This record gives sequence, structure tokens and C-alpha cells, in this order.
Amino acid sequence: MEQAVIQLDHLSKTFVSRKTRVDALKNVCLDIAPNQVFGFLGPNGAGKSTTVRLIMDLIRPTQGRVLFAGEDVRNNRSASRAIGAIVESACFYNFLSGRDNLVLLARTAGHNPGQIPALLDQVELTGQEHKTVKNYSTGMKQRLGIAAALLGNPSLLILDEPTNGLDPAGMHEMRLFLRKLVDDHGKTVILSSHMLSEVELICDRVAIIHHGEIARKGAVKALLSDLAHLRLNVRPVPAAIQLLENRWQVELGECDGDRGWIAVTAKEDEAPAVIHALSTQGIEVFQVSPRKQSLEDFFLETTRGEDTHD
Amino acid sequence: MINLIRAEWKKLLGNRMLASFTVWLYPTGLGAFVLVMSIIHLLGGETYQELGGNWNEPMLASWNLITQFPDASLGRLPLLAFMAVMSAGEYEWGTWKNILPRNRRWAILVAKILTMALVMVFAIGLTSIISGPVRYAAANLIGVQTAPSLPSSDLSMFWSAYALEAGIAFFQSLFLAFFAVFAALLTRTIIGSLLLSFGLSFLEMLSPLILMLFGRILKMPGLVNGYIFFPSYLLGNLRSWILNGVYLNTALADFTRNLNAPSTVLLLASLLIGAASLCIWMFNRQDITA
Repeated sequence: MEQAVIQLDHLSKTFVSRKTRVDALKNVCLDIAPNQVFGFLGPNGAGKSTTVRLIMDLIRPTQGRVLFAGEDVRNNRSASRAIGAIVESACFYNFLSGRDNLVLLARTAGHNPGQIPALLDQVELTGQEHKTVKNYSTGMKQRLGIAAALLGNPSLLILDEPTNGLDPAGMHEMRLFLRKLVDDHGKTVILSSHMLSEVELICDRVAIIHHGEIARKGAVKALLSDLAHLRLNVRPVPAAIQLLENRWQVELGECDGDRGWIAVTAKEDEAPAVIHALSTQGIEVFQVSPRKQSLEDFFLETTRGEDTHD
Repeated sequence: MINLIRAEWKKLLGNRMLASFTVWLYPTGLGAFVLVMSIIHLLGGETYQELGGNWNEPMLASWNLITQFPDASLGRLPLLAFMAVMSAGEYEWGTWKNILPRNRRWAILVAKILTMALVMVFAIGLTSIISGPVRYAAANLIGVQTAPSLPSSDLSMFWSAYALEAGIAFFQSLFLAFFAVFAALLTRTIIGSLLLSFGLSFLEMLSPLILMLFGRILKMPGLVNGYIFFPSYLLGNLRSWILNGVYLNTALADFTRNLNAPSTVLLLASLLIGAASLCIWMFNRQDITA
């Protein structure tokens, strides 16, 4: 099996102040394999940013460790230099130009500033690089953040809300750009986003963090197909529910007398079996429609409707 | 380290608005002030010599802005404000999270402190270079006779004294940079850092008076001898040993302890290493949550 690029090994973080104690992360274990786009989702205060900060060695774990390519990031500075990140939002020195900000970051990391024109070109900031960052729009700052994260050609990119401030065309381009980084350049991208439709379109795998714990994780397609529903319009409803709930999970929908809608957590290819089971017992089936869950439905179900910002 | 210092230099002087009112204020503002005052005094009938000696004297005296009481009590403040803002700003602007993953924390902090001290010395150095010729130019402008050129023996003594003052100023600047960084690490806010670093600077400068006062209150007159552990005494004492071959005469009542040159250097080095270690230890333990 391929070695995970990032391993969170029983990671816990507790913030203690004079009056409060917050367990931001509780014994989190997670392996992220290379060469994929990994989505990191969670409601407000779930622990997403804390996890990212732990990976970047900006905060120290109370317990556990973060391994990058098998080595503890705290003991291996070159590891964290091989990770490019935008943590929460792209923050720069507003009084410097976009280019000067990149030069400064490149020198801090010991990278060659010669790569900066190509990076600016890649994020389409060529021609704007001499403006001071205070005159940049949110989208420009975001793109500059991605250029900063790409300095030194890191093998892992961690991007928090990378499409923030981008227009629909910009979002589409960003999706293509990130996919290209993974598919053509063999990089790994971890992204957190509150735009779940975006995550669904771009991510190969996701983890949902909730109250400091990993609530769900897995391949996006598998997670969604596991929770796919069939919606059936049947009569009589009570008999249909009694019959089907032996094999599937059944939920009652709208009813009109003894005819009504039921939702069965069965995959699309199980539809013939469901219909057969009902019809052999004399239950009438008027309509059958597959209802795929979106990542948003899945997320809301997992987190019970809390907001996604962290 | 060179790359880190270059990055820090770019950042510090890249904040043009702040640097104009704090760093460049010295060579430009003071230069203009000296020019205007010289013209006024010379037009009022004073001789060039009465202005404060030949060009070499104001050049040396410029360094007092950060090293000598009372000039330094206010002279340090703009530069200290600059350093406090540029240190605590990293927390308030959220820029630490971009910088810190790219290198070791201790290296980043040491580069910041060194560069800030270099900027201070650079600003005061420029001021000192300007201050001599400015008065000379004022005298020429009005047609007042200037002093004769310095003989070569005086000139060589001047350059030695100048190098010594610049060196003392650099070490004093290092301590001021430590005050600013320590205040930033502790408060994580620009305003808190400004207030605390100003407070530390005043405390350090007024330490002999404060120690004397506490000595009187506690009936421990020897307490004033604790002044030997403060940078301003150690740097003054070192200057005195190098220039005159004797220890510094503080003229403080009850001050009886005098340090020889090697002990002074040793204590100075210990203070610098101690201050650096404290700041690095605090920084390494910190969670960067902004």
C-alpha cells in the first residue's frame, strides 16, 4: 500500500485559557494518500483549522503527532517546507506589492525567487504584481495565496477555501487548475471549503470533522452511493414499510390516505428487487425514482445542519 | 541567515508610511531641523564654533539619540515604535502563519532582531553623516567662516571614536529590539507592544534612579549597585574602558561596584544570550492561532 502523505496519529489539541478549556481535536486518526484531492469538511469550530495549523506546525499538539511522508513534522523542518498552504485566509503584508510578498516568502524559505514570474503567470496575476496588496481584490489575494503556497514546488498543498472571492468562471478555472496539479504533476491537495458542490466536483475523498472528531471519511462516490435513496409511491404504505424494513432502511414521506411516498436507502441497481418484493405481496407501485444524495445532504446529515465555516 | 535578513530588511523598509515617520524621520527631519536651527543661530551672530564645535562633534553626538541619557529618553521612541509595530504586526496582520512554516522559528526571530537593530544603526548613521555637512552647508550658505580642517591625527582619533559609538549604538539597538520583540511576544497586539516596549526602555534608562529610590525606601543603599546588570551601564562602562582606560564614573550616590572590561564584556554577552534565549523559548512555545 502506498505510504500516506499525511498521517494524523492520535492527534489531540486542547486550548486552555484562564477560564476555559476547549478540546478542539480529540484523538483524531487520519491517513491521506498521495496524488488526490482530499476534502476536509466541518461546521464552525469543528477543528478544521486547528488540524491544518497542526499540520503546518503553527500550533503544538496536546497529544499525538502529525507525520509527513512518515516523519514527524515537528522534528523535520524540511517536511513543513515541502507543504504549501493557505491557512484560513491568505494574509500578506498589505504595504508590499504582490511580487515583493512572494520574494520575501521565497527568501524566508531559502527558495529561488526566480520562479516567481512563472507562478504569477500561473495564477494570472502577471501585470498586477507591482500593485500593493492593499489594492488587490479578494480574488486576487486568493490567487496570490495560491502562488505563495506553490513556492518551492511543494508536493502537498493545503488550501482553505481556495475559491473564496472568485467568480463562477474563476472557480471553474481553479477547479481545473487544482485537478491539473494532481493529475499532471502528481501533487496532493487537501482543501477545505464551505462550497460543498465544489468539493463534490473536485475531491476524490473527503473527511467530515465534527466536534473535534472525524465523523465520516471515505471516497466521495462511495459515500454518496452508500446513502443513495429510492423514492417509491406505493399503496398501502404501512404494508410496504413493514415488508421493506426487514432489508432496508425505510422512511415515510408524504401520504394521501393509504397511498404515499416512502424513501428506501437502496442503491439504484437494487430497484428491481425492491419492486419485485412489493409486487409479489400485492402492494401497488405507482412511481419509482432514484434520489442520489448530494454531498451537501450527506454533510448536513452527518453534522445535523450546522454551518460549515470554521 | 543572510536570506532571512534580506527578507526582513525588505519587509521593514517596505512599510514606507511607517518607516517615513519613524526611521527616515531621523536623517530627514533632524537634518532639516539642524539646517534651520544652524541658519537661525548663525544669522543671530553666533560663530560656527559656537554652534557646537567642528563637523566631527555633531557626527559623534548623533549616536547619543539612542545611547545616552537624556537624548535617548525621547530619541529612541520613534525607532522603538517602528520595531514594536513590525514585531506585533505579524500577529495582528496574520502573517506569521505564512512565514513560520518556511523556516525555523529561532532563525526567523534572530533575523528579525538583527535586522531591526541594523535598521536603527543605519538610520542614526545616516543622521550622523548628514548632521556634520548640514551645519557646514548652513555656514557656507550664509557666508560665515567655518572651522579649519581637522589635522590628520585628530581625524584618525575621530574615526576610532566614531566606530566605537556606532558599535555601542548597535548593541544598544539589539537590546531595544529585544524589548520590542519581547513586548510583541507577550502582548500579541500592536498597542500592547508599543506601551510595553516604551515602558521597558524607560525602566532600563531610569534604572539607576529607580534602584536608588528603592534602596532608600527599603533602607538598602547598596541596591543601586544592581545598575551594573543593565545594558546602559555595561555599554557606558565598555565605552569608558575603550576610550579612557578607566571604569565609568556614574556619579551615583552609594554606587560602589565597578566592573573591569572583561567582566563587562562577559556580562554584556550573558545579557544578550539570555534575552535571545528567553525570546526564542517564548516563541517556540507559542501557538499561532491568528
